[in-house]
Amino acid sequence: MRYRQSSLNAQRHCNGVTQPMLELDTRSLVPISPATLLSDSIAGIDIYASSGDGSEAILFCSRDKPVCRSRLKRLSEEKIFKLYVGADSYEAYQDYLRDHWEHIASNRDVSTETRISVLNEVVRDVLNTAFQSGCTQKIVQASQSLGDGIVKILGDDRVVVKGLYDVLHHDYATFTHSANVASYSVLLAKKLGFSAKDQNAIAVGALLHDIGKLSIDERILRKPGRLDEFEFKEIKKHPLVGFRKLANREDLSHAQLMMTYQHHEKLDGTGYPVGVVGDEIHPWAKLCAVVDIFEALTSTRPYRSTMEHSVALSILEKASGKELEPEFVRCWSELVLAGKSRGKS
Amino acid sequence: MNDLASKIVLPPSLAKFFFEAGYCESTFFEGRRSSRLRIRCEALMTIDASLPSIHRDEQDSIVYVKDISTRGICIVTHQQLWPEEQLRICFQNREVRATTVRCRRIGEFCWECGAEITSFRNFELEDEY
Repeated sequence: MRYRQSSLNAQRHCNGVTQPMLELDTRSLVPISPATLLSDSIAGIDIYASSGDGSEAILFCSRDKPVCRSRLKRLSEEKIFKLYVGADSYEAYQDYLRDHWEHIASNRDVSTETRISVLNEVVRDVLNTAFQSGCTQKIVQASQSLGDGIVKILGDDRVVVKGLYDVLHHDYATFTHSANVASYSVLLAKKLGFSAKDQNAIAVGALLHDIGKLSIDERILRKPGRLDEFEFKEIKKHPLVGFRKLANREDLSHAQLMMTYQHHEKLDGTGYPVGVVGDEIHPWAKLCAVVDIFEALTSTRPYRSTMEHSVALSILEKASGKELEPEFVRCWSELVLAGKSRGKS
Repeated sequence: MNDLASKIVLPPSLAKFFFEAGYCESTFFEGRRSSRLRIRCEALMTIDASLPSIHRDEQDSIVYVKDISTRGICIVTHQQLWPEEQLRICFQNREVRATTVRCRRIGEFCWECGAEITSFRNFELEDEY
């Protein structure tokens, strides 16, 4: 990482110590959410800040100093709101998140939005690392370790879809999609009256629902244009491939396996991989299907940009009864619309 | 096998099921590794091992063999089979052990299942030697 002395040659008061202000090119930095920094904890990494208007970043908190939240807040008010860590320190930042996320998640003094934001960063990070390993054991373990935290945080009645959507990432990475689907699944399961234990299991199942995609060529997954017959056939294999990866595990229930196997099945039998109909589809898979489609429609895809929530809901409603469980679609629509109206107020 | 009755209900589209014979045609997009020979007969299927999360009341059932290749076997069953279930299929003095790979719903009591053969025994040939 290349540092350079500020052109202003200024002295910056940082954590009570006067330091020469350093600036560096943000291209060598990775942006992080301020919400992920636990107050008064020593992150063990240098953290940089910039105004976000394209100006260069300056050292905000050095690796041996605790993060001061009041200072963070003040900087935010001064519109210095973008934080970064060096690309070479990103692994250390991930370790920091893993070590502290449960503390942040359970801290009622921290705002719900912050807690969701931290949760989302950690879920994506842990899932990404596990997915990259390609090891089913690691992926299942990671998912199981995250399920409880997701339910704990999203169990807060103040959490609404709109608020959740605003803090989630919406890129096309499988780990991002899985993390988002898990969060949405828990909200829908809660609304439908599933027990906390079931919500937890549903979160784990949702994190794993697309595990089969890890075996599909990335060039097909990220193809910007229309898929040809062969490519579409490859994509359609992922529920079956995912199920086969998980089928012999004793730590997953039948219902969780069905979330992987049946999330592309449709009530009228036109889905895949089996073409099961109606009640032959497990309720958890039906639940997963609704939020899976919503997430896919409202996220950026290689071939299109994000879709408005209202448009996505109208697509779900069109499929309701024929392909998707009407009760679940109705419930999800209510959640999204309630979130929107609350978000506006 | 005589004590068991078939519970399979073939839909009208499969009315000629037992009258078809010969090699199956395949397209490039099916990505098959071996050619398949139609063998249409009843068989006794035993589910030797299901999955940890699946409970099965009945282990034995009558199935119809659809076709077979050097690597795989396709059968028609009255119930859905789950990928990774271990099967033993006995027909015409032959015993095939296989792992379920895929299953497709044809009707409520008619499911087409593909399985990868793990071992094959021909008792007629064994008797000759």
